[in-house]
Amino acid sequence: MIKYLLLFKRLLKKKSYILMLLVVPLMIILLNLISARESGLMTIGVCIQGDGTASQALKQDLMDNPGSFRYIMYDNPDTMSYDVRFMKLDEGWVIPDTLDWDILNMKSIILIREEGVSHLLAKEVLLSRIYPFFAKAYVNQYVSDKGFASDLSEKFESINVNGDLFEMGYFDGAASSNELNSTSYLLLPLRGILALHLMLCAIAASMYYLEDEDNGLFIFWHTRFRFLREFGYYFVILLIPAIMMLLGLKLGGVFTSFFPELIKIMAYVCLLIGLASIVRRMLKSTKILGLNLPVAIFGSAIFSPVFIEFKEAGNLRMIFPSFHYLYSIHDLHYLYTMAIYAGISLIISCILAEFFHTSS
Amino acid sequence: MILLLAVLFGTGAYAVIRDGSYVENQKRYTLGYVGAADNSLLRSGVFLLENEDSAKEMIELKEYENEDDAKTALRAGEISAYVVITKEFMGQLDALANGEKLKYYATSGQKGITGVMMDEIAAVAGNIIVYTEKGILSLDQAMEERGYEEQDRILQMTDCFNSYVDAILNRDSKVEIVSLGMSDGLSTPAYYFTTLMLFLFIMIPFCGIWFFLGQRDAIAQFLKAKGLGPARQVLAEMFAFYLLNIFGQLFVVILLEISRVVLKYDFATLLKIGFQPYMLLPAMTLPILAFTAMGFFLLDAIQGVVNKVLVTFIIDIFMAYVAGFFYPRVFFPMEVQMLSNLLPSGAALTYVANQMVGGRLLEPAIVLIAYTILFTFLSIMVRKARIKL
Repeated sequence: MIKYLLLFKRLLKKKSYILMLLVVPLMIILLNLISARESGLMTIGVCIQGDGTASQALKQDLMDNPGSFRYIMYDNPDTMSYDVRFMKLDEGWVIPDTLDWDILNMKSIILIREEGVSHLLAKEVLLSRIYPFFAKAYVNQYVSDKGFASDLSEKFESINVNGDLFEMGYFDGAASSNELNSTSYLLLPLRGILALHLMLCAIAASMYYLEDEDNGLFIFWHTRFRFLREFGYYFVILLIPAIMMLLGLKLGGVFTSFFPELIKIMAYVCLLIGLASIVRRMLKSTKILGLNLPVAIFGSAIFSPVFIEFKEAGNLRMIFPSFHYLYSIHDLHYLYTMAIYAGISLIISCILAEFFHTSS
Repeated sequence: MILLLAVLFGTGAYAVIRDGSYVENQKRYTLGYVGAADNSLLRSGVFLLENEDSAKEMIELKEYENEDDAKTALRAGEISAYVVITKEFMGQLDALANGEKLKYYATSGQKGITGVMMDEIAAVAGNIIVYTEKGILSLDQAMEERGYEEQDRILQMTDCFNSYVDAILNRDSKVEIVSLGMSDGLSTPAYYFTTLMLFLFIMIPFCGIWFFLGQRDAIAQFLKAKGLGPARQVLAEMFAFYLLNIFGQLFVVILLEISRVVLKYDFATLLKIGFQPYMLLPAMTLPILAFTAMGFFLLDAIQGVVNKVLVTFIIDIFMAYVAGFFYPRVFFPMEVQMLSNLLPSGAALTYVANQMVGGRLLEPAIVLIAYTILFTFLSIMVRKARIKL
């Protein structure tokens, strides 16, 4: 036990350790600051040419409920055109003044630079924002075509229909209630980044282990079970970064609930330790381990859902530990796969430690 | 190792160019649905969506027998999301009363950008349903006030509903799309190709991390005794480090050229701009210099291999993220977009992108050179302090 504490103390002695501890919270604070500012998945310029009731209402609606987009109001369609061409805007909407007096025949213009699925979505959003006004005019038109005299506008306005029809669900509902709400989309990669960070910590721990092995640290450290010594060694190094990770997730607002998070991160740590020891025993050199760092980063960034979900890779992705961890947050199925993977890798590294060791 | 990296890079490029960003991908969203078997309203809706509606370019529908099949498909990545349509929900919709919510599952992982897009789609669908209902209900109320029989009202409402559906199907006629052309910007594939390349070169200094391990202080003092002061030591080491990274770049370019010639990848069409891999060599030299200097400083100054790796990684990935390497720059607030040009990563992106499309090179070049000088200077200071000890 003392030996592990001494190992830990040795880590703390390096001044850079404080830097290492600070860098994660610092990054999260910066990300929080960034996401507090105004931003949007798409920045859309809107030029509403009319100034009747419908136009004012539409303007107000876009400003009050932007959803995930960001709307910037323009008075002049030419300025807006210019901004679209020069990439200040993703697209521009020109809504003519017929919105106020002839909505059923109105035609809006959408200015884009390049065709893409996102523009299809934005088109649907535009149409759905105009739709309330359209629907009202439409039923009035319908009614007058059929020969009924009246104007149904008042009735239309007064009917209260529940608007909240759809809700995103998760497979592991209980763990997710916090995250379902207003986390800025900018903070979503945070968990992935921290998972990568912990993985790198495990690889760096391997390098540290090799250095110590070369320096003969383990000659004087007798133990019956080499595997336990190895596990303890890694655990001491990974402990603080793992705690920092949990704190970081909390600070960043993507924390779900305490016990599930704790279990998942412990399983992840065990998996990382198992894999790191196996890889270390195979590669046996600090140099080669170092060369593997970018490979691990790149691979995990692509194959696990840090920034993108590369679904075509299918089951190949299961090699990467961060894949299991990130998916396990909302889907217990992956907690089980992670635990099994961790179990297998720990058993293999145990066998390697006991029977294939080269030093003491 | 660089080979492996290059292979990974290739896969990554493939993944990203195919997947694009969540905002600009060319792939449709695939929506699975469960539970439509015995509802005629839903079946006709599905038919319309699959055949008549313009949304079929954006969404593809897939039916599943039960929720478990849909779940498996979601986990395997065959669909982007699925909905479970319950009898209660359909009953409500039929009765135009909305109490129950419909759940859609967009990922088995954590909420990501796809999830956010799905929210938008859900809001669109919700809006259309709600206001159509309002129209139909107001008709119903008016008829009730006039004393019409229920039978007549139902007939009329159904007719009104069909009329609305026609109008909704024809909504494309309400919008005219004008494409202004890609005059001054990178296409999406070119953008991600560039950012991935740059991310690769930010990470490459890690390959040389063994350079910075071991008894560095002793060697530094020894060299000083032999007449090589801190400045010359740092410059020499950094130059060697730079050559290593240039070699990496050369390797990647060669691989890309091979893929162009042998596998016939036409980068010009893939990336939609006139670009050939060998053009990367001059384009990337200055960014790689800046990244080398930064990597050198961080890996040298920080002590302890664990700390080196973790701090450098967090700094690198934060800079890459905020400069728009993974999500488009426009995702970020305006202030961040402007400030990111002052970061090495952002300046590098602007520099390389402008070379591809003919924009200004001076400002980003100045930033990159400034960072190179700054980090070299800082490294010399650190080395000086180490020698003195």
